[in-house]
Amino acid sequence: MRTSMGRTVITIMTDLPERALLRLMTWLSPAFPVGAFSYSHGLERAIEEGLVGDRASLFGWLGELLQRGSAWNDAVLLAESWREAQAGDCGGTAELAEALAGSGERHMETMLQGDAFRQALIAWARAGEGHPNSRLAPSPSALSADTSPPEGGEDESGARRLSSPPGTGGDVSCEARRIRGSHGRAKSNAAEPGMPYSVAVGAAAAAGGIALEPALVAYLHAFVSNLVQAAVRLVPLGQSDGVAALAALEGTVLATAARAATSTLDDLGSAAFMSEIMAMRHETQYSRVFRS
Amino acid sequence: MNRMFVDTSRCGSIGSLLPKPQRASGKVRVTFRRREGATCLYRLHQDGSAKVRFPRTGGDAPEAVLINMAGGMTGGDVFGTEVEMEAGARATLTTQACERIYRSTGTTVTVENRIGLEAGSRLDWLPQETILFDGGRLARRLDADLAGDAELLAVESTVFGRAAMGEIINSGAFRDRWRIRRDGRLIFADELFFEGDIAGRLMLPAIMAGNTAMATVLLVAPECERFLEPVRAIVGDAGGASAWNGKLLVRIAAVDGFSLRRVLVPLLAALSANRSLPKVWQL
Repeated sequence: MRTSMGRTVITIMTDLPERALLRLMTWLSPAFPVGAFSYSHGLERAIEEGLVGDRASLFGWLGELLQRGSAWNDAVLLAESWREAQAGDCGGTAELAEALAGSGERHMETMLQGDAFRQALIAWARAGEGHPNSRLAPSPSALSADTSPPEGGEDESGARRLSSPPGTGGDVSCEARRIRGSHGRAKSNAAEPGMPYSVAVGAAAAAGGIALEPALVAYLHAFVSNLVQAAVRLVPLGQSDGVAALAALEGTVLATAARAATSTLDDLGSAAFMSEIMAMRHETQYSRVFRS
Repeated sequence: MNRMFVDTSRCGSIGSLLPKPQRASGKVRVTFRRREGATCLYRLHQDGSAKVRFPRTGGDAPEAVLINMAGGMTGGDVFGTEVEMEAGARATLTTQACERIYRSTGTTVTVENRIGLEAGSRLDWLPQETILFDGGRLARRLDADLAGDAELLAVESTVFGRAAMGEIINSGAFRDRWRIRRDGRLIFADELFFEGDIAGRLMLPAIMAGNTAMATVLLVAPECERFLEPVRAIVGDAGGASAWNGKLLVRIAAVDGFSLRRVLVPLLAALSANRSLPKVWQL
């Protein structure tokens, strides 16, 4: 069933797209405890400096981040980590994603959300001990991942768009291997290096049977809607303006996700230089609501 | 065999006789070694149109000045510089002039620079600005591998068309890819990519907000955080600075090359090992 090799997009999917949809909605919901609402990705500073001030400039700002800015890079990294997890590979995407963070606050933003995301996934691992889902989260089941029963049953039967077969190796068995490899025996995952948010989402989506492109759409939607909410809090912009910006960005989100699904790490590249500068300048902003 | 005339009688295609467009290439490899308290040039290899000169500086850290004899680069050109800093060695590297990337017929200029730094060494990698002309295409890569407590100061600055000369970039491509590792672990990466209607894009608030010149400056060194406040004072409204995990990153966006240099000169002087810049870097 799996056709994944290298850069090909997986199109053969398992049944139960509803489960994949449910997970995506939950994991990338504003209510999921990653604390996304506390980060503005430098937008707070851009608003302070007048680079963003109304619906049109917000739309333009977010559109650039999606097409050729940090959100594009995140999407490329998410896709790569999804493929890594599918292949059971412990690749270097997490290290690259962390190294690409362009400021202290951007680094904190992606690393803390990644940590919180993986912590929250433990609930799925607990709910599904002995089930393929147990490969989703880090500890405690992380360390038993290698002995989890073979995949099968309900997750493996049909061919629909939203879900995909769980990867053969998932991020969790990678972690288990890494921990055992470096310390000779199992150990709490407090000693592990962190995982940037985009990479954590990609790995979890692969392990959780979620197809790549829907995962990208959901991730990018969460990214822009979070920043729209930040803007609604910071500028005289009504909820309806925010919703209008989201509606207008629909095409860009979908196109970016489709492009990222067939990308490779060679496609990394950002032109959003001012956005990077604003993220840096946020560190010295006198009065601020957000952590980035 | 040295043929002055080509015998065309047996050739099916005249196209195969035409010379391929002349493409420039240049490669410099230089190794610095510490000896008796000072750094000296240990090995030098120059190839193609790339040359390197070592002006006397009077200090114990030599200065290397790269020269591109081809006078600019265009599509298909391949350039590379490799610097090896042996244990404890210290040096500064710069370029004699701004590098010009001219209109290309479709192919891309490739520049691949590689720096190896053994423990206790330091390199200040301070090439002058790169100027991208309309239709120019450049893919540049900087790889640095640091060992132990080695230090690196690196800048890459780019001017998109000389605004004062009315030059506008309606097409072209610019990619700048950095990978910096310490003891094998990737500690910094950067990916800049501009393509297509660059002049139009530069106007956008998230991209360059109307600026046409930019620079990225990275210092990886123990305790580089102590430079953060002075650097912020120098950069002011022209950019941003941040320090985390043993690195200090500065980005500057300026309306043109001259404004960029007005910030870069004091900034690089403050961060450089000697607290002073090579002569070519003066305003």
